[in-house]
Amino acid sequence: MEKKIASISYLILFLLTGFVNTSTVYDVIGIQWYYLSIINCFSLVYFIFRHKKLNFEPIKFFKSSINLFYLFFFLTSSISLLWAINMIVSVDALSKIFISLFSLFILSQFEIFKYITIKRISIIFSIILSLEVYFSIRGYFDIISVTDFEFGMASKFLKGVTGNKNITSASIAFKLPFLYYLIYNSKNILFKATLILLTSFAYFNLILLSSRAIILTTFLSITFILIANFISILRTREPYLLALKRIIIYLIPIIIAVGVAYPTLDQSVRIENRVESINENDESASTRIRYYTKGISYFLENPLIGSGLGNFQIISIQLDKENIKSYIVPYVAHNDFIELLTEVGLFGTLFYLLFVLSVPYFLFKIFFTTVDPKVHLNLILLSLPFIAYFVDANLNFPQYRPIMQVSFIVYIMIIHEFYKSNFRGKSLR
Amino acid sequence: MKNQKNIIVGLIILLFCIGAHFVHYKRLKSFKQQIKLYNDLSNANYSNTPAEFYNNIQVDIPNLTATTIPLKAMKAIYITANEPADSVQKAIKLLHESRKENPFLMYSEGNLAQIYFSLRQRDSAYFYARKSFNGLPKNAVHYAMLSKLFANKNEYDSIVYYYQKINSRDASIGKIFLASMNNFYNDLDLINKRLVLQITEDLKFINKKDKDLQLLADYIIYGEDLVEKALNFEEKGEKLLIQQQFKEGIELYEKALEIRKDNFPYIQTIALASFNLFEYKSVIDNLEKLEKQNIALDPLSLYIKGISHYNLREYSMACNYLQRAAKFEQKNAIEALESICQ
Repeated sequence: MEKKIASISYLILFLLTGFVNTSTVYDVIGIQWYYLSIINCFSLVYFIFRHKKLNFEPIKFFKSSINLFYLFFFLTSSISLLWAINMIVSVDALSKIFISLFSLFILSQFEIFKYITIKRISIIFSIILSLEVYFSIRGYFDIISVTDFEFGMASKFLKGVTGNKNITSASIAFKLPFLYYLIYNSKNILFKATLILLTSFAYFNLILLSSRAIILTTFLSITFILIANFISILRTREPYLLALKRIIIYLIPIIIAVGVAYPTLDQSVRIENRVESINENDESASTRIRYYTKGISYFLENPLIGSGLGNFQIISIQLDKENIKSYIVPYVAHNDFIELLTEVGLFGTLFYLLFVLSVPYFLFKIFFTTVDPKVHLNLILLSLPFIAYFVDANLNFPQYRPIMQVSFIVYIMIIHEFYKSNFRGKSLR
Repeated sequence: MKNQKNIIVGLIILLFCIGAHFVHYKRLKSFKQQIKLYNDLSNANYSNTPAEFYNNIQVDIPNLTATTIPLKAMKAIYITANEPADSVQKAIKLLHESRKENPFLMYSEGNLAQIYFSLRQRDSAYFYARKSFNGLPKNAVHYAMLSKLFANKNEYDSIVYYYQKINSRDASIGKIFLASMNNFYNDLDLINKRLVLQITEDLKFINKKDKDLQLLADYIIYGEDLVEKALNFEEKGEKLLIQQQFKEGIELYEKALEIRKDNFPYIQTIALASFNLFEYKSVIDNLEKLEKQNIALDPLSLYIKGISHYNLREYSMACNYLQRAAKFEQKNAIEALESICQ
C-alpha cells in the first residue's frame, strides 16, 4: 500500500513539472529541471531509508532495454566531455540527461505499472491536458471580450503554462491521444460525450495556436489512423463498419473544432494560410534548413567526435557566422537528432535513436503478432503520441524542455509495459 | 548482504544525484541573475549597478548566459562601467579568460578592442577589432569599432572595403557606414566615391522607412548644403502646419521634397495636410506615390485615403481602405466603416 501511494504520488509530481513556473528566472526550464532534481533526490533517499519495505533493487533498472539504451546514451555523452569546446556547458547539459536517466531509474524502482493501469495514467494525462488547455485558451476569451482575435496575439496571450505557444501546442498534441484512449475505452455515453467535447476544445486551442508543426502532426496522425485501421481490418478480420465508426469518432472533435473556428476566426489563423506560409521566403523554414544542412555537414566532417554535449550553441556560431546579426546565435538546431550528431557524434546519437525508436519497434512488433482488435485499437492510439513527439523532435527541441521530457519518459515506459504485458500473455488493462 | 549491496549502490547513485542537483541549483541561481543581465544588455546600460550585484555574478557554473555570452565578459563590462579607471586591468583579465569559453561569439574580443582603444593601445585594439570582425562580420559593434580604427589611421577606403566584404543590407550596419562616409566622403578617391554613392543609393532604397538612414544617405547623395536647406524648409513647414496654415506649409514641404526626392515622411505629411484642405485628389495621389514604392501605409493614412475616395465617390475603394484601417483598431475608420460601408 505504501509503495502504491508513493509511486502514484511520484508519478503525479513528475508529470506536473510543466506547471512549475516563476517569473524570477530568465528561462523557466531552470526551475523545472531543479524541481525534477529535488523530487528525484528525495525519492532516492526515501528508497534508501525504506529499502526493505519498498523492495529497492537497483538491478531492476538494468533489466529493461530502454533503460540500457538511455544509460549508454548518457555514458557516450559523458565521454564527449573530453573534447568539448566548453566543458562546463557539457556538464550542464549532462546534468539534464542525468535527470531523465535518474527518472527512469526511480520509475523502474517504483514498478509503477503494478499499481496503476494505462487507463488511469490516461486520466492523469487528460487532467493535465485540460489544465494546459484552460491556461492557454482563457487568453482567447479575454481577447474576444474586447476585440477580434488575430494570429499574432497567440504568442502573447495564449502561451499557457509553458510560456511559449509552440511548446504548449506540442504538449497538448502529445497528450491528446490519451483523451482518445479514454473515449474509446469508456462505456458511459455521457462521459464519452464530455471527453469528445474536451478533445474538441483542445483542437480548437491548437487551431488558435496555429503551430505549423502541429498541423503536420495532425495531418500525419489522421493519415496514420486511416492506414493503420485499414491494415487492422485485414489482420483481425473485424467488420469494417466498426473501424469506420472508430475513424469517425476520431474525426468528430477535429470537425467540431474546425467548424467552430472557421466562421469566427481571422484569415491568418486558417490552416491553409499557415501551410501556405511555408515557402522559400519563410525565414523560419529557411533558417531551419540552413541549421540542418550545416549541422549535417559538420557531423560528416566529424562523425565520431562532435563538439561536445550541449556545445551546438557554440559551434553553430562558427558554422553560421555569415548570417548572425548582433549576438543572436542559433541556440538549438531545431532538430534533436541533428543537434546530437553535431555534439556527441554517431555513437551517442545512435543510442538516443535506439531509445526513441524503441517505441515504434515495440508497437510494430505487437501489431504484427496479435490479431486482437482491442489490442490493435489501443496500439493505434498509443502510436499517436510518438508521431507528435517525433515531429516535434525533428522541427523543434523537446529534449531541451522538461515538460516534453517527463511526458515522453512516462509514455515510453507505458509502451514498454504494454509490450511486456502482451508478450506475457496478459491482457491490456 | 544483498540489502547492504543495494544500499551501497543507492548511496553511490545519491552522490551522483547530489552532484547533478548542485549543477541545477547553480543554473537556477544564474538564471535569476540573468534577468538583470539581459535587461541591461538590451538597454546597453551597465552603469549605476551596485558592486554587490556584479561581484556576485556566477561565472563558473554555468559560464555562459542562455544566449552564450561568457558571464566573465559580462562581469568585466560591469566593472568598466562602474569602477574607476584603475580597475580596467581586472576587466581585461576577465575578458581574456572568457575568450576560451565561447571562442566563436567574439563578444570578449569586441569588448577588448573597445577597452584597448580607450587606453590608446591602438595595435591591441586593431588586433581584437579585426579578430572580432572576422569571427562575426555582420555584427554592427564589430564593424563600428573597425571603422573607428581605420578612420584613426586615415584608411578611409578600408571602411568601404570591409563594408563591401560584409555584403549586408542591415540598417544598423548601414547607418554606421553612412555616418563614417559623411565624415570622410570627400577624402575618398573617385572610384571609391562612385562605389559609396552606389551603396548609399541601394541602402536608401532598401530602408525606405528608416528616417535616420534616409537623412544620412541624403547627406551623401545631395550634399550637406542642400540637405540642410531641405531640413530648414521642413522645420518652417512644420511650424506652419501646427498653426493650421496648411497651404503655406505644403508649399514648404514641396520645396523640401524637390531636394530630398521620394522622401517618405514629406510625402505623407503633404497628404495629411492636403486632407485638411479637402484636396482629396492630392491626398490620393501622394499616398499612391508611397504605395507604388511598396511602403505600407499606416492606419491614419489608410483612413484618410478611404475618406478621400469616398468624397470622390469611389465607394468601393473607400470601403477597402477603411476596412484596412479598421483592422488596426483605427477608431475613426471603424465608425466610418459602419456608417458608410454597411
